[in-house]
Amino acid sequence: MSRLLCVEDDRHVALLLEFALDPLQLTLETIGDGRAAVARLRQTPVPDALILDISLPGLSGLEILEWMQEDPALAAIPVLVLSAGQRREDRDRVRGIRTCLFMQKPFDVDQLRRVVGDLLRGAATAPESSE
Amino acid sequence: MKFGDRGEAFRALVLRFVREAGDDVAELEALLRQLAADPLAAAARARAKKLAHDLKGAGGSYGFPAVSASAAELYGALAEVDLYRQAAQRLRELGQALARARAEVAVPEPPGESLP
Repeated sequence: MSRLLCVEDDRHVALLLEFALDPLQLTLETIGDGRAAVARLRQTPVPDALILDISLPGLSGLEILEWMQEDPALAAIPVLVLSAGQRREDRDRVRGIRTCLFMQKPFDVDQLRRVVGDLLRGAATAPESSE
Repeated sequence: MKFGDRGEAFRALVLRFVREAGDDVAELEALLRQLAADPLAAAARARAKKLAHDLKGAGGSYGFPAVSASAAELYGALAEVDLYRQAAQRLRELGQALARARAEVAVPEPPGESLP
């Protein structure tokens, strides 16, 4: 069973992600703080994929991504970055990382499930609504 | 039904979202009253921006795009409060620079002058 770490501090979105991903039969772990997410990623087993919000308490999603790039094992983990923000430079930074995809909030539940499924199979492509 | 036999579970999630988003809106109303009285109240402004940001991201995801759109407008308005705060700080610095200039040329402060 695949392990997915969801780093999301908005309880409404976290609950919706749990619902959306339930059919994929994952082991889903949710953390709502950036520093706690880094502490978890230092432990084993590392997750097979991440869903990462950008706006987080502690450390931002982008800071976590940059930190992950310094460790080859963590840098190889596929990441779906979610954001309600509109900063183009954030999207561009995410897309500059080979293992990352970007999805804008609000998101479509079915599309998100498809993208995460593809991400875990190593077949993900950028979602159409990501612009 | 979009989620088939999971429709009831989704409906329960949506009902929870609507109820708790109502609590968030009530908190936002209180925070905006606080900000109206004190536009520089940093904690109130940060909390209001967080609530607006979260509703912006969640509303449409639960099927309510108008909630996301309104929350985005609110978030933008709160960012303007940030600009006001920065302007107020610049104005304070301007006043302090002027006070130093007056001191340098020994011109007394005008009576009753107050800066934000």
